[in-house]
Amino acid sequence: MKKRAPESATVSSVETVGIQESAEGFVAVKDFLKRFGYLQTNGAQPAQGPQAAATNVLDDATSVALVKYQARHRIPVTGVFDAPTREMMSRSRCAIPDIGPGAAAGVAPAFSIAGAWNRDTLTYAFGSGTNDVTGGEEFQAVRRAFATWSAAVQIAFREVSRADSPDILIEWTVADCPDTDMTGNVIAHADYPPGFGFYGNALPRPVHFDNQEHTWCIGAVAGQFDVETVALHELGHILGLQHSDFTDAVMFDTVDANATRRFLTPDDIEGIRRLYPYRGPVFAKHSGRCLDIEGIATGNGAHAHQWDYWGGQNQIFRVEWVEASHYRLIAQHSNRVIDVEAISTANGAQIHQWQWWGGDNQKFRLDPLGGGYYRLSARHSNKCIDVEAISTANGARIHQWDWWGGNNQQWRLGPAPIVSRHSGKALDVYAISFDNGAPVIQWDYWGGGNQRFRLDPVDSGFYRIMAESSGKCLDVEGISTANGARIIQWEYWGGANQQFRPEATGDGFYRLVARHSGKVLDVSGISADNGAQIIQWDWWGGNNQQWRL
Amino acid sequence: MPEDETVHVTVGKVGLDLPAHLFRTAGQPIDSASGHYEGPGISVHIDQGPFSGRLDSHIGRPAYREEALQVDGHPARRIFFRSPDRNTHTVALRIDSPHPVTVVVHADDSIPERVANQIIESLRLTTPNRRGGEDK
Repeated sequence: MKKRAPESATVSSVETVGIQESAEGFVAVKDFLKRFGYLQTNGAQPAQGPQAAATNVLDDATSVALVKYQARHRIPVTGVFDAPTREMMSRSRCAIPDIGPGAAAGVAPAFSIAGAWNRDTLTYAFGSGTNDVTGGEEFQAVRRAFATWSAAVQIAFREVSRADSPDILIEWTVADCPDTDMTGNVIAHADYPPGFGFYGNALPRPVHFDNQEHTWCIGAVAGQFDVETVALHELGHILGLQHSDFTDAVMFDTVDANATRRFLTPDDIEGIRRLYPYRGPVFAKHSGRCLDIEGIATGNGAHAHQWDYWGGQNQIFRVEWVEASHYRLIAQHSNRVIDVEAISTANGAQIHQWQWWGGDNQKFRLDPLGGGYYRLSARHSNKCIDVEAISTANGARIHQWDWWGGNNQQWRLGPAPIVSRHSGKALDVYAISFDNGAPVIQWDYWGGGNQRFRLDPVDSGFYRIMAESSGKCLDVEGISTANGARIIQWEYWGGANQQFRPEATGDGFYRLVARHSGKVLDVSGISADNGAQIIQWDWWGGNNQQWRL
Repeated sequence: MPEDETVHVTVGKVGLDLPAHLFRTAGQPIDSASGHYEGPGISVHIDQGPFSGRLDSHIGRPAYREEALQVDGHPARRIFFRSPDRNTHTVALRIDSPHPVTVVVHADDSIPERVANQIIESLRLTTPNRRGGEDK
């Protein structure tokens, strides 16, 4: 879709633009990114006619530049030009480029942790609300805060009634609440997970908003506090995070009235990943195949290669935080880690598994590249994990190589698109809905959070597939076992109709088999149109039943 | 005003001496007693309460070092690290008391490290104050 903006568009007037979309005036965004060092200049003259239209396209290089900008400014890393990015670029700033020769990449972390829950599904309920806002909007704001955390960590949250023994109870209380006296200086409080509590360890864990001394609002209102902003902070404590000393972090210890802070920063995300390491397969973007230890070998020196995902434990990695921005990748079958052979710093050095000894050749920096993909750079060499010769074949060797931006150097470690083989369109939650029951359709990928899904291992090779924007999971409507039953999103409650097993069909594509019915995800009517409903159907081998993960 | 002139401030149960030219910044503490002070090339961040951070994630940063000490009878840890890309250094203190305290001093490299250390070393835990928060 082509979008329009005034001829003399500045960054602030450019509309939201997705990947491979264009909008008049988008060239102003590219100019901004070039000026401040995020996008390389090519020295070309200003384009005219069709070429000018091309400059208004959000292409791959611009998406990567946006990712760098977003990560550096601690706003949601989407790789598209969206509202938070427009707002940040429109602010007054100094004229010195952010990135230049000798500049260091990224921002060092400042998070702190208390401890983690020992399960990956938590329930919550609401007690009393506040009369400061109408229509239950305070509860909806808290639900959005849950969804924001859920997008960053392999935990699902489900709302239950207060009578259902929730894990977390959210309520607006008097200042001198049963746990602590909030009178005066503070506006809310929570507590840490069981076993790490400050006010005790019993369930439900409390989130209390002071309803006596402060006025609550939705959005930025003078003299009032945004519910979602404070809820996001308190839920960080509920998950086990302490305060960060980064002033822009959600977990920073102060907030301003008349302001919002509703997006996790890289510091918050790194902290939560330390508490809850990612676990699952690591897919290569170019091939759809995943990182695999050859021969399911358990010894030191077994080579890494790419292979179709088949559910082997040699394809499941636990990505654990080690130190500032660096992680180790632990193979589940062997408990050994991904390691650059012989601590080599050369291009082409083999990636294999080895026992953990703390070497820098076993530590990898994760840099987000947008769309749920990451670059994995070895600390000792600064080279990245790469599939040799951009091969898409099973068995292709994994080695380290200088970063050049290839899709064979990009690895799925977060919510990413799931793309239909027959249409090239992505799974999409209709209308970016937040609600249970929203249909799941196919749509051109434009970078929306409703088009990115995370695979959380459940057991026996089955996964829950969670939408980034809502924190809700793919679900076969009504637990139906019939052909044609719609796929919708729903809170995860552990149903077999919410669990799917990827099974390779060749060429890096997969069918997704529903656990309760044995049927597969299917684009209704073999449609290639935007908006086509996703359903379940008996497997018959159609391209409309095959997906790139 | 002489460079070394200081003023005593109290945040929650934490009292310490800061360079007199620092000013307290705005910001509503969410769920702890906290205070932030800034001046040219230096900032001081005090956070006292159950949610204050333990500073663990700084391990591995350039020039990182730490030492164990006692503050008013409570075990504490002082850390130091540099941020070479920003030409800054950081000295921070964590006190593991029943009311945990974290103090972080960030400073440009143009400011001697002794300034941050003097701030940290001036820290004393004051008589319990139910709600904390006395300002300079």
